[in-house]
Amino acid sequence: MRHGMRFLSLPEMVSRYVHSGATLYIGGFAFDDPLAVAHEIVRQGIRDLTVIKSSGGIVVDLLIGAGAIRRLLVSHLWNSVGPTPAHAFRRAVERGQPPIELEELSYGAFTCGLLAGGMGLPFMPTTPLMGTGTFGERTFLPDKLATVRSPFDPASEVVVVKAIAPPLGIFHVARVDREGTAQILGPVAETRLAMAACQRVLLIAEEVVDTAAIRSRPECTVAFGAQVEAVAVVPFGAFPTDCHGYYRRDLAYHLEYAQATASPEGFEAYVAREVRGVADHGEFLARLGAERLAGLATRQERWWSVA
Amino acid sequence: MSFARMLLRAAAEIPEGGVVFVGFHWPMLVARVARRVYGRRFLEVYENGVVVDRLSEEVPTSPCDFRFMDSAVAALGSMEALYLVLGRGRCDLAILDAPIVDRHGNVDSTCVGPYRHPRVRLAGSGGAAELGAFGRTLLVTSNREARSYPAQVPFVTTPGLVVGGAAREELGYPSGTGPVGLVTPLGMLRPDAGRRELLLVERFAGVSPDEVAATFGWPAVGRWDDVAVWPEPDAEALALVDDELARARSNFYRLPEEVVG
Repeated sequence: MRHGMRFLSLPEMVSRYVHSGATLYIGGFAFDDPLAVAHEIVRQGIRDLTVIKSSGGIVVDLLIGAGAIRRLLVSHLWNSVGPTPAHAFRRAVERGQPPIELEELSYGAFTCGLLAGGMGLPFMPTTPLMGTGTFGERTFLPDKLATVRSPFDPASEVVVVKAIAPPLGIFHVARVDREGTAQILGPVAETRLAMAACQRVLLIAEEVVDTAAIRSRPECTVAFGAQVEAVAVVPFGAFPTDCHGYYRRDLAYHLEYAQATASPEGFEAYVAREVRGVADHGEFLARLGAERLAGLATRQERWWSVA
Repeated sequence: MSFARMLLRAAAEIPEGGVVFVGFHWPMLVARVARRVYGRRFLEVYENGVVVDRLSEEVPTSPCDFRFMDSAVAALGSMEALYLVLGRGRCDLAILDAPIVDRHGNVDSTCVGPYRHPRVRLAGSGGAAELGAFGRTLLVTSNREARSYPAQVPFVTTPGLVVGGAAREELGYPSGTGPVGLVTPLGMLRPDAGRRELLLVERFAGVSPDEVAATFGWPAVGRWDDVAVWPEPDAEALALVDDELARARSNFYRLPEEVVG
């Protein structure tokens, strides 16, 4: 296969591709949320990002609190265990600490925007959103939504969403082979659309598997190597969310995060300890302990049996 | 008790053999109660693409908590769930958690106070706009406080019967969609005949006219005598709900004060 896909370490990947001021799509929808990437972005002191993500969660809350995000396009943002407040997000939006520019789409409109981006089309008809706040309120994307007359029925007005085509996306997947064929072993949410929409795609994967395992379940493939710029292998890269087939979400960690980050001082201490206080994701995991991680593991043989 | 009654009342709305689009939070508990208490069989569709048709041992903390995926019917994508199933009109019911809801059934899950300067910032839409745009929507609100029931929400996350003064049908929402009920700790509200506003049609035992008047930010009762009384649940049903709530608590659900005690 003649393309430039390469394996990199996560720190190398982030320093090579993610620069301050960049626009970055982050994959995952409260599962496959790449916390390892968020930690590395914070460790490298990257700032002023425009982040596009369907479902915020701890990954985006952490990036906001650490001052890495200037602009944010999301469909929702919360800590879904409890549910518990996403404190950094709330401080930013309620008190401007730190200030962010927030733009929102409903999840359906968000996926339709990615579909348009992935198809190379300028816009896509989407959910009728007339009269909603999501339609009316606009910040840094003043033309995110519009209405057009249907060319096939002049009486009908259709809500359309502008294409979302991020220059760069980083996604957590379950596994890859040496050729960069990437698989997710469960629901994919908007992953395929988002990968298609992003001009360049970076992956972090739990492991590299033999290509025979990939070929035994081709329906799980979300990207093939030619679509992928680079891959970093990062076990438990989506901790504390689910990576189906590998591990479940760590419920307690979601609450520990919420409690630790409830105040600005607490947030700073948390980042100093858990993020800047470790060299890399491996050390972060080592501190959590092998026993805790083993308790989350769900590796099921059905994904590896090669017929 | 009122929380348990609310879950039971909402669960009774789930049709046997139906397809139900289930939103995050209380709707997931409502679906479980429908299976355990009423023995209903139905398909649950979630916005991330998960489709299930049976009870999992543990209460999942969200549709993206895959501890309920092991016997799933399908693992689809969001486009399939939101448009090819819900948008196409394949769902009999969509159940939505409604933190703040107004007289027209508009739901705000985005902010308390003005959007640009909110007093409290909530999670935002996710698929909540789609549930209200494409679904026959059962709204579920666990709060008793009047602040959850203003005459008009500050921000319409999910469109109701009348949005910004216009009927939803005039705004391009498909016919036959929109709120079909609002379950609250006081009872069940339904759209009036003109589909303009929500009125209390059933109350739970012990709920008084004064309590209703103090809770809803609009005249939510026509004639008090016309409001039916939902029969008190039996001990067996309450025990099953208690067991569900215990399972939810062990997975860190933050339950209403009255349940926590």
